[in-house]
Amino acid sequence: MSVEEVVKEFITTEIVAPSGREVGELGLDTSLFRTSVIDSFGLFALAAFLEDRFGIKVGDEDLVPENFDSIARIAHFVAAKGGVAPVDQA
Amino acid sequence: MGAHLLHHLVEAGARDHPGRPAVSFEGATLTYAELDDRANRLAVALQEKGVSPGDRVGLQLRKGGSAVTAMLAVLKAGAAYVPLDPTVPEARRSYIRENSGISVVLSSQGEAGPGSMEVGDQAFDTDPGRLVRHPTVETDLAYILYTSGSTGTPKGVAISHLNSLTFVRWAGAELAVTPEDRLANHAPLNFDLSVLDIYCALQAGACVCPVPEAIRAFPVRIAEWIETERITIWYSVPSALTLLVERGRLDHVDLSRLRLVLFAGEVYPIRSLQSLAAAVPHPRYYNLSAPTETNVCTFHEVDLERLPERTEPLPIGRACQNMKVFAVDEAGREAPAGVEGELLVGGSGVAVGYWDLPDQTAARFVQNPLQNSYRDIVYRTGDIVIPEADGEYRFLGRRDDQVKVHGYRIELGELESALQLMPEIKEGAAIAVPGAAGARLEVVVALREGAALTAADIRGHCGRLLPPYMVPESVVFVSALPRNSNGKVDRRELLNTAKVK
Repeated sequence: MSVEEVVKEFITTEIVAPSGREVGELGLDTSLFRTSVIDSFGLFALAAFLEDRFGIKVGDEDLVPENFDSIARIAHFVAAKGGVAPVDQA
Repeated sequence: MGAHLLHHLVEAGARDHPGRPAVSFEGATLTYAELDDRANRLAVALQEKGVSPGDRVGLQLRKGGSAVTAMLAVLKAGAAYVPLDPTVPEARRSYIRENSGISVVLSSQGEAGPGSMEVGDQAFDTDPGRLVRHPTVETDLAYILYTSGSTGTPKGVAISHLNSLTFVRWAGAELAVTPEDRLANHAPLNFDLSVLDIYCALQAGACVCPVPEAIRAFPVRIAEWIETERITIWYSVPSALTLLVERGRLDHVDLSRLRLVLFAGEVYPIRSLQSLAAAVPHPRYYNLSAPTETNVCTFHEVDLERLPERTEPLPIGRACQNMKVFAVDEAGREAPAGVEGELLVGGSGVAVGYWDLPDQTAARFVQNPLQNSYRDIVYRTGDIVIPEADGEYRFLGRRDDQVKVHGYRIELGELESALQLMPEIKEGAAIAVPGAAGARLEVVVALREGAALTAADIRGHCGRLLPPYMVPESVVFVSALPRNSNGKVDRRELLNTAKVK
């Protein structure tokens, strides 16, 4: 799975689905915050997931829309932090 | 005669200081003259669409200058507005639309649904001279705010111009709001905290600055925004301030212009307030107690010198000068200092009642039990308090199942009603589990034999019916709910179930 796919799956299954919200298809560039798909608690959950899954450190200063407002931006941020996706378990 | 209707505040501003900034949002400013003119134009558009005095108009709008304009436009058209939170499930919005009998919904540009009217450029393309000014009196409704209802559906708190202005006048005087002030608007429009931000600003000739949705979830950006918007007055629930101090890197920003920090909605965890006051020591801090039905009724200024040693929760404070506040014991007598009782609130700041709910209105908006000689309606808050000798009230708890989670007021019965709609659930109960960072919402459910449901199924179901803040954070499965000897669900035992887990 690509970083984009991993992030999308997390957002869809862990943040959007339990909230019951009807959000349309999440494109790579869909704004996650301007339309309140994710709130601050979801943001912290997402940051913790990225740290765990990709072995990166997300500081408070990293928690800005430039890094988190879309799946594409998150993937770019993970790459810039040197994140490595673990090999998928078959 | 001064302003006796809420929209008079902007009309006076447009006359007396037309060029002053009234709303600042994402780099754009609306002056008082522009705000008043745009509200007049939109009011004409509403009247041309058939909106008449006494009608309700829904506001399904994102934060910004257009939302403030729309509120004023509805009032100028002689109608009352009903904020509809764009982030809650459509099922809930649709209930509110039907319950309040909304005739028109105003929506943000590009988000108009069937039957709604977009607040875009076209809506302002009218002749403001055509505005028909119907006679409106101060006891007419200005807005209806929907809040969690214990019977399973939200209930609308109906607020008149007089109710709102009574509060706005008090707040403007007590907080000495000046034209130089810049008030942050953090709370959504469907929460009454936003009433202070918007109308106190307009009353004083000050500027209201709505927090943009795009940065709302990012504490670092909110801190920077407070600096760049030169915010002087901040009002929010405590949990928003806790996020700011814990994750907002406040040592990287200059918040020296901030002169007042106001909070309401829940008890501020004292440790968290101590961290905030240590990080931002110069403003004055106020704890406001504000059931939607009364606007703010009591207030307490935090003694910052004593705060570092404080261990007990803050009091809810003393009565606002233009409100009547007292506690009555179980026998219906006024509770003297040191004796617990239910907090009752009277005066023109108290809401008209619940929209189209005569029984619930009669149960909570009651004749003052201390005198029977004339009609004198007071609101039973349901808060159990102790009056202190110095006139301040200390909050002890609730006499019903209303809880506060992250500052949101939640009737557990509404969440429990949602659980009952799942056929797989035999019985379910909701609880607020206390924690160091505030309470969190949890449900305890027993499934029917052979039924299979996951926690995610249950949270998803709740999310389709209820606002995001009412979706339980966790689910505990049991074979049967604990009950006491008379067969009622034992809430204390439920809390133990939650703690053991």
